[in-house]
Amino acid sequence: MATSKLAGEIDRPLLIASILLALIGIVFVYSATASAIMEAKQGLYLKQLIWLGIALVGAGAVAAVPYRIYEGKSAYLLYGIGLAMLVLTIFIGHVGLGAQRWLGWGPVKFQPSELAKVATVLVLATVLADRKTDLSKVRSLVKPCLLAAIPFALVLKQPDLGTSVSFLVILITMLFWGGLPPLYLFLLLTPVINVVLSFFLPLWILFAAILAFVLYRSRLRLMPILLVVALNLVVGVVTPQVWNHLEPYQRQRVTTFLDPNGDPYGAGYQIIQSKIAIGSGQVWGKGLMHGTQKGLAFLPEQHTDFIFSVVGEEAGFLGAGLVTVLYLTLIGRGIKIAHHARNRFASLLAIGMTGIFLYHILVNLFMTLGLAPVTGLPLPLLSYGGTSLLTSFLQIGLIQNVAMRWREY
Amino acid sequence: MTTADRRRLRVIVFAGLVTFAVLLARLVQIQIVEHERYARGARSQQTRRVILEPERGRIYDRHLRPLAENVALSQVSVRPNEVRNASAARDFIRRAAGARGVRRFQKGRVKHRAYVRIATKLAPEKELALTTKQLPEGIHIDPVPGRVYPLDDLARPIVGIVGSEGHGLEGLEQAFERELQGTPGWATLYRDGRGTDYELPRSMVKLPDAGGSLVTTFDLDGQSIAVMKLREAVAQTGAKSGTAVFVDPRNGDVLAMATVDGPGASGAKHRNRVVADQYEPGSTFKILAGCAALEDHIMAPSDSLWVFEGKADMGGFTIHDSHEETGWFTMRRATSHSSNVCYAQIGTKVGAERLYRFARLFGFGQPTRIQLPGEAAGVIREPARWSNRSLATISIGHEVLVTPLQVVMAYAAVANGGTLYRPRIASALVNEDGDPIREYPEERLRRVISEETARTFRSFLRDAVTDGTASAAALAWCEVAGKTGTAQKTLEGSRGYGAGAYIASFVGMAPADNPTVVGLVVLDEPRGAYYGGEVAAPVFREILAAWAAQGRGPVRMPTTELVQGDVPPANGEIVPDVRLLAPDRARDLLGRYGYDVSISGEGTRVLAQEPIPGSQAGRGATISLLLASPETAGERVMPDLRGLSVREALARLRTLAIPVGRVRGSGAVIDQSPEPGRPVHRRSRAALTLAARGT
Repeated sequence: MATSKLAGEIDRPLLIASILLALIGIVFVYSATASAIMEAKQGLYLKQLIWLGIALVGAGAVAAVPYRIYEGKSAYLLYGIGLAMLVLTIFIGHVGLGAQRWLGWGPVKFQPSELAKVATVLVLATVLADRKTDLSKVRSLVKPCLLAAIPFALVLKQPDLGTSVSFLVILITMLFWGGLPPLYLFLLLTPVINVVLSFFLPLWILFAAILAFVLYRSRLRLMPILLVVALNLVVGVVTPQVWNHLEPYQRQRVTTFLDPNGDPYGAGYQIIQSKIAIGSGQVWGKGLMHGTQKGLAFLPEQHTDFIFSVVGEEAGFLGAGLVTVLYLTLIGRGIKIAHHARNRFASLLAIGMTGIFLYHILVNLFMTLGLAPVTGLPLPLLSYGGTSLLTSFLQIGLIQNVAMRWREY
Repeated sequence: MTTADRRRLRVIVFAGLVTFAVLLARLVQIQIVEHERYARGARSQQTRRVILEPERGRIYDRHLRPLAENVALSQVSVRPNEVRNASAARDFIRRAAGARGVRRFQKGRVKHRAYVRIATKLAPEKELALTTKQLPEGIHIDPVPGRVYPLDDLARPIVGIVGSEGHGLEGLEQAFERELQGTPGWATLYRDGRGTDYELPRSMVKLPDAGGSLVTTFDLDGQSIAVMKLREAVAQTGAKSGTAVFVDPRNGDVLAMATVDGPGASGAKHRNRVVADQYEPGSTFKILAGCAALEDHIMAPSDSLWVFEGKADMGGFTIHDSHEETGWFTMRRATSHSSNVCYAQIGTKVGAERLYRFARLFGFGQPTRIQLPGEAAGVIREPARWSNRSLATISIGHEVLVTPLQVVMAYAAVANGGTLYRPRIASALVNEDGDPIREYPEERLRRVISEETARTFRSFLRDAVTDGTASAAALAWCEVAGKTGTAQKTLEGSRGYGAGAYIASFVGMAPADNPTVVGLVVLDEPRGAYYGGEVAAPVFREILAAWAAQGRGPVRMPTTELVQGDVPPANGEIVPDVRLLAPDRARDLLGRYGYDVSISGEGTRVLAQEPIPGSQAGRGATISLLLASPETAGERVMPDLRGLSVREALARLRTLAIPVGRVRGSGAVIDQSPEPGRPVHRRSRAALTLAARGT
């Protein structure tokens, strides 16, 4: 009785959007791997279909149990397992694309960072929902920052810059949602802004002036001010060092993003090819299976990171626009559910999961459209990848869990 | 719900909407606003246009026997990184291309080249030796388009050659370049992201149009006989060079043009002296004063002139005859005995203006406009610039320069009843099926003398052979008419005439009453005997006799004569090059030379012959031919493409000029049509079925 009542509360737009996206994904994985050049991968869409089944069962399972189960000790347990696996990955992980990202056991391969993201959302939601946490006090920021910083550092070590940044995004999103004063948020973000602007001296000077002004007017105590200044100083000094110690491919990705045509056959190749694929799709697209950019393998990673380019080429603006709107629906519903949830933990849980989605979607779509550097992040629900699909649906399941029980305190 | 919560919600919704709006705007920009730019980018990187070379037209003689043919020759290349056994590869390369090839191979290995070409257009014998052996790994033999000339040197000055760029450089190959070369086609190939694999959709191919094949007026028999007889004559007389040209007087068709260079020959090798050389004609030029006098009734054939001791004082200078005779010479006798004294007087009677007018009328001092490159115009000055001697000396063929072709065309006008023709060298352009694309009609230029004058002068010329200076040109079975010429050469770089340096010539026609052939033989500086009647006239006779003996020449030999034989002794003809020809063509050609043919091996073209081309073999000798296996044959036989990549397969078909109709799938060739070894018909296209490697 209770189950059917709960099922009636399932958020239908979110359900439909997520399943539709997954199905669209399978269709285009099929198309992307159908050409002869991809012969070794022609069966992948079937694998993805099986993974979708598993993912839906998993989503149902995580949605069925009351979300309180995830709060507290179980969150820390999951977080601990996630960190352990990340550490393990560093030592015995499989190398893929120049980084150790995978843990494997037989034919099953698993990306621990996916689990770590979910676990981090859970622990942060636990911590921020705790009545003892008062976000107007600087001291209470230390614990959440540490909880996010550890997986961030471990993933960065793999090295996987794109995924590691997602931990920071989770942290910022949840702190913001949890009620961190905007001033604190700004100060927390200053080191990041500092890093970006340190490449452009005039802007950096302007930024430093604004920061000084804000600190002067902030009526903060001396210690936090010193902390912020020190942090910014350290970042300012360290950034050039880090830049010089970055992996060449990471540096190349940034410079390539700034000028993709500078090296059309090297680093800029992927971005140029992706834009050509999407642009040549025009309004109606070339038709499913008829993409020439795709069919002739000009598109890199066309069934994973650049699947959206295949959609753009074969389904045109109509298809790409539809997918974008579906993602907008997904994000919008996530925010709505987080907003409506009466329980603080549930609300934070929903917003954290939505934040992960938003980050991945934006980074991937901006990349394929040539608006952001190549990061190697898959497009949730659409890209080929079992772990990615499963994790995405677990996140959806958790959001639905919150949606179904929005009345509960 | 607090206001702070609501504000936060507004911020986060706003941020989300803005980013998605940016995404959609970017999609609009790329897919709708700038779509043309990206679509063009896709097209330009995915497609590639390749030019499909057309097959060059062939060149045939008047009986459609080949003078220039297309075949697939072999190219040897090596891919150093595929080589397993370096010493075996080196041995092979040394056999194929000598030490130079080995050096190329070594250099390619040191520099880590992927591909080194060792030898192109391999000689057929070498190719045979190589293909019988197992190819070492890394060595590849591929067909490349090649052009062969069955008559080789015998027709080289006329036919010319094709340069490495595929354009005609000399002779007919140059003159008819536009007609022969054809129109290139193109194919649009799709290229994949690795730039390696092509697929060919049916709709994107425009096949090349093969060039037209040229049917010339040449007679392959006459050409080879003329060259070989002339070679003998040049060798025997020690002349610097010899030329011979034979035309059909009835339409101006050139039947044979022979140029033979002796040891002291000047000018470029393979120079076509028939059109390019100018010489002082001597007595053969008497045709002008003679015809002018007859045509304008200045003299009648029986009008007589007094000759005293073979000398005539022309007022300040003396003209000599070769014999110191005294007496009355009729005009007939003056011509047949080639009296300079008489002709100086006839010229004087004709007058400078008239002689000049007739010279121009007969086509001297201007190109004949034959369709061959490098023609000289000859020189005959205007009367205003003549000296007091000029009229007399020009009448007997000095102080003028003519080309052999001009002389023979002028005599052709006498032979055919007074009409000057433009020499014709090509009669038609035909397509691959032999249907005419264009005809080149005979071209009458003008009437130069009346029928009567022509008939009268022809009878003078007949007398020259029966009872005159040209008796050596006589044939027992056919009446010959002709005129000898013996001109003392001007010393190079001075105005005087050199002692002992002569140009001996004979221009004749047969049969005398109704000539079907007019021919000229010129020998430059023969040693010893130097009179045209002694050295040039016999060459004319022998060429005509040998030609008639072939049975297809311009004059027919009575059957009885064929048996008895006015046929030249079978002391040694030069064996023509029949390599790379189809066996029946080779057999036909050799048969015409009177050789027996023995064929061994199987295949569609001759790969090697014994005795080798250019050597001498007597009539009736047996020539052994070895035929090529189908894979390397020049005829269009479908190669085995299975296992090759699309690109390799297309390249192979392209060199064999086999058009591709349909390509299905991608990867390596697994099935093909026609099957390997099957002949490919001219209009058929190949179809390939591809599949991923290893399946």
